[in-house]
Amino acid sequence: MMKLEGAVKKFGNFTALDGVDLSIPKGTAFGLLGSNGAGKSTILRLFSGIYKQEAGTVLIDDEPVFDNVAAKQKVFFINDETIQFGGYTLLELKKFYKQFYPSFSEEIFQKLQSAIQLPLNKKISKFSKGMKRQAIVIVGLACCTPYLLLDEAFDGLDPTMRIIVKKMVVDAMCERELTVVISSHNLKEINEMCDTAALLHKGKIVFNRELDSFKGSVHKIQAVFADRERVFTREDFKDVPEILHFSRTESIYHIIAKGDEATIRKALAPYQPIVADLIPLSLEEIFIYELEVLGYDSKVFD
Amino acid sequence: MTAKSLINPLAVRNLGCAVKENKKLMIVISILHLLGIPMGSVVILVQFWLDSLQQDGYYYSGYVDLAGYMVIACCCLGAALLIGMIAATGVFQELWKKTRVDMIYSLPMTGSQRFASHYLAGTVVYVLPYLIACVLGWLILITGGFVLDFEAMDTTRSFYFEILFKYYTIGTIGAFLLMMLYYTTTVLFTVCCGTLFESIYTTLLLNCLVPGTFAAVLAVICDNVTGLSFEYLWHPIGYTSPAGGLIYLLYLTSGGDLYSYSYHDLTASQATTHGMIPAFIRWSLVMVLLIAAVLVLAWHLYRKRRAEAIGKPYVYLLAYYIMLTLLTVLILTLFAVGMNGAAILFAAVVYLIMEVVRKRGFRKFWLSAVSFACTVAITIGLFALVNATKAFGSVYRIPAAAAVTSVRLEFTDMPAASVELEYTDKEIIRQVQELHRDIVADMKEYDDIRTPIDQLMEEMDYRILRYDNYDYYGEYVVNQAGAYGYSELDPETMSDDMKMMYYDYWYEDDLIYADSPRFEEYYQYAETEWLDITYYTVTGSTVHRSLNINMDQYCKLLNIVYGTELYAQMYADFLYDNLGNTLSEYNEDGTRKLDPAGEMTLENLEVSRTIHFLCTEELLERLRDAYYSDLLELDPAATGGVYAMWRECPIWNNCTATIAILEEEMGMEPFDAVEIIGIADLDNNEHEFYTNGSYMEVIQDTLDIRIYTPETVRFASKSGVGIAGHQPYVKSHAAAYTDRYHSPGSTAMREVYPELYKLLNAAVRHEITENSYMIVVNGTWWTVPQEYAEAVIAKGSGYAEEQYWDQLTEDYEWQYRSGEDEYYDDIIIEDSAVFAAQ
Repeated sequence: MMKLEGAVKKFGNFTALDGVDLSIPKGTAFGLLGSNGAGKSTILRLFSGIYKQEAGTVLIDDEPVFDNVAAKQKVFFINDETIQFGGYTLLELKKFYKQFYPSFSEEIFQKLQSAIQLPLNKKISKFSKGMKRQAIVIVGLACCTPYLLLDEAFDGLDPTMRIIVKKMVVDAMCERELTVVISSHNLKEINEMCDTAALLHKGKIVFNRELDSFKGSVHKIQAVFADRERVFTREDFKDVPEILHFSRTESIYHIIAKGDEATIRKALAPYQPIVADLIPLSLEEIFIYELEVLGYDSKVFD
Repeated sequence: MTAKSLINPLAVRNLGCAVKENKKLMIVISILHLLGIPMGSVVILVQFWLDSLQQDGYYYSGYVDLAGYMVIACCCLGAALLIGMIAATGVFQELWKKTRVDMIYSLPMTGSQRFASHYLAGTVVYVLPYLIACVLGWLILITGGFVLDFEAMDTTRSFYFEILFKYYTIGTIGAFLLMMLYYTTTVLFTVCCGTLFESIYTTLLLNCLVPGTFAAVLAVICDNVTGLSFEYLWHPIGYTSPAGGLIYLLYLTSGGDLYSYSYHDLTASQATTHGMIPAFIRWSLVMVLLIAAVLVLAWHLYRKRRAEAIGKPYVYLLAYYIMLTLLTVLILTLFAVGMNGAAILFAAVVYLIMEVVRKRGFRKFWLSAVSFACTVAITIGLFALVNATKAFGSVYRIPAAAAVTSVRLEFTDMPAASVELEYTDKEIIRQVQELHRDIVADMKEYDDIRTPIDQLMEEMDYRILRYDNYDYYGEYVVNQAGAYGYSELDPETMSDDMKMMYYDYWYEDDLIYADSPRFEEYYQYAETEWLDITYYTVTGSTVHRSLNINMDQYCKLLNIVYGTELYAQMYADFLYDNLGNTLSEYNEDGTRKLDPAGEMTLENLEVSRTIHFLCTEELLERLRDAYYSDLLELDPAATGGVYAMWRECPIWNNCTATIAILEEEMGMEPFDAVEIIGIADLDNNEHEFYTNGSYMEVIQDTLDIRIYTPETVRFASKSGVGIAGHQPYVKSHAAAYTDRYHSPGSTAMREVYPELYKLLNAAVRHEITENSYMIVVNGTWWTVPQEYAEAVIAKGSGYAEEQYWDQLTEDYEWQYRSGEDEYYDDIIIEDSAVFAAQ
């Protein structure tokens, strides 16, 4: 299990993580969502032992990570850049990482390499972007670490490449109890690959839940009430569990609210809705509306 | 952290990876090193071989100059050494290259393992090629030592190997330590910086600034604080940086003289006492400790440093502020400490520009201005403190006699030879300390100015000013003299009229200081000598003082050293060794084979006499022993004057045993019949000629001779007379008279010289007695027994001033008018009537 307990990380005066608690059980495909600068990459770098937290603890299998060889050997971190590998060939890169990860599997490497047919002796700097990403993912998977951290790992890949890389990761997850932590802005990707996700904003976790529980947990409601003369306000719907968004166009009310359909319908019933359409929100819409509540929305340009 | 944890297999693997990643750099370094030491070794051997061919009488076509190849070898070696900075920054890329941070820091290693593996990788890349090149150089030079035909050369095989082992060992080990220091300091500065630019420029700047500022500050302190000598205090510069270490190594291997690679002088035998090998071992040990200290600091900072610090110009500001402070201090020191406005302005500009570069803008600029003001204030304050406390009292410090193991004295002996003598005898040490205390007491009384002269001048009531004037045609008009109060002549307060005269007509040399209650003290110190005292203590430390001493103290010094075994041994050995060497050929085993046709040239003033004798080892040994015995008996108050000089060795008239051997067995004839050699040179406008150890400067047919009677001797001052021109003239204000005349041209000089020689032969410079006459010939002084002086003055009166003036005017009047030759503007014509009255 990967665990953050009250983790604080500061960069000068800027607090990147402000007392974050997070647990990622083994075998989980965990997605880190969040606005730019929310602290997603910082969490990954804390888990990979690159950064040292100012306060709190960062544990992998109950061991602190920073400066701990044993803990770090359980983690392979792939960041959003590939330029650092440019001077190596795939073979050299394999040899480089093989030295540091005793669990390195030559078999997995051969299997993935031959499946994708990446050249072994060509400088990685001469690979296309997708090939570079594939190369490092191959090496990362071949290291056979229990934890794989991917920071914006699919950025800039064409759909086919994206599928190939994803498939490699998913196959590894299926074959062994690999824990994958993916940080991405692409909610669709998280939606497709992860079973759990956390949303971060300004160094704090907004929510941390299984993705399935998201589905149907937030609804978009379009309603017209019988008393058209009356102007309803947000405060009128106290029985609706949590309203994220409330607006009105003529007599049509647009409400984004947390809660299952039955609860919401029950809460609206006293106001005699003539029309009440409830549509479950996609993950992307949830992301947008959750952050809007926290004051992070596109209205700043209005 | 244990050694085991450092030698973790992962760290070793990382070392291998880091070396592989820098293999291209390693190849470049290897090529440069192969073109350096091994090629240089081959060039040396080929040069030896060519020399032997030439000396064997073989003909080889053309002159083969291998210097070019040697220059290439040196340049390659230099370039290979400088590349250390690239090696250090190359292996520690995670400290300045953002894209490498995640990759390197996420590897399963601790910070210490990462540091150790990267540090060692850089060492392998940078130093391993050098070590291989050194081994190759060894093999080449050792092989050459066995192959070369030394019989055809000036040197011997044993000498070749001695030099090889001594200098090559020192050179290679010294260079290795310097490389390690350079590399380790670069690693330290790379750890302190977050960008490549800052890493490189901080390394470069600090490597120059540390030794540069040290030297500049030391020079200023030594210049302001009496007794401290830069010459003896600069050695710690060898520990300040690789560049400083290189300077020190060159100094060590050049025999203690940076300006010359030979030390064939009297000091040679003494120089070995605290010689090269012990000094090198001491230096090496300190360097090892220094490198270790820098390494530990770098390691500690590396471990503390956070991955996210990359990109900051300075991760640890201490390095930056050290650099900035050193730069400011250096600028202030170079220009003039503190009070010079231009220096402060320049320092401010540099300081603030560096601050703007570091901050990448003008953020909190006022803070930079304040910190600069503080730096300047502290610098000035520290300098003032050092001056006020006389370097924290070190000027007056005389080590306890019990703690002194030996004392070395350096001074100019009477024959103007620079002498170094080191005594371990407790009684001599006690006497030296007593003399030192006497000098320190004087220093305290005169407030520690370098010579008491300056202070005494300040205290004089009057400056008496005289200047020479010429009319439009260059004709000499008249001496003018006047008495002015000190403040009247102070440029700060003098009136405009005075100022105009002061700067347009008068010269500083014309200012005579007189009429003071301390007037006599002034002249006591007007004639000074220098003395360097170095105490070696039981702790291995040294205390050195460079002192000015008056003539009384100088006489005390001579009383201490004359007659000591060391003094006698030094001259006797010098005579024996050098005379023997000049008359010998060397056998292959290094022993000398004397040529029986002995030849020796002795000099007395500018007169030299070459004697021929049957040279045997036995004769040389007897000559040495006789000279040793004579010097052992030497009484500084009664040397009898110089009989003759052989090189720097004075043979005094009281060296009876030596003179007996010279005259009775070696064919020496006394200098009674004076030979004038050198007049022909004077006719050819030779500007200087040598007397016994000193030289006189002759301004084209002009000889400036001054004779001071016993009554006026106390007013004589070495600093007050120089070559002809703007001489102080004290007759009217010294309440005594001084006589002098200028000999008129070479013809007259020919006639004057024999008497002058007699006079100078009898003269002993340091014997000042109440009845001594002083004679000054073109600025060089002798004390003359009265009976000789009387004779010369009587003879010399025939050459009165008018005669000289007539000839001068006749020959050179046109030059006066045309102003072509500045010399003649300077010639002073004094009132010959005074001389005639004598």
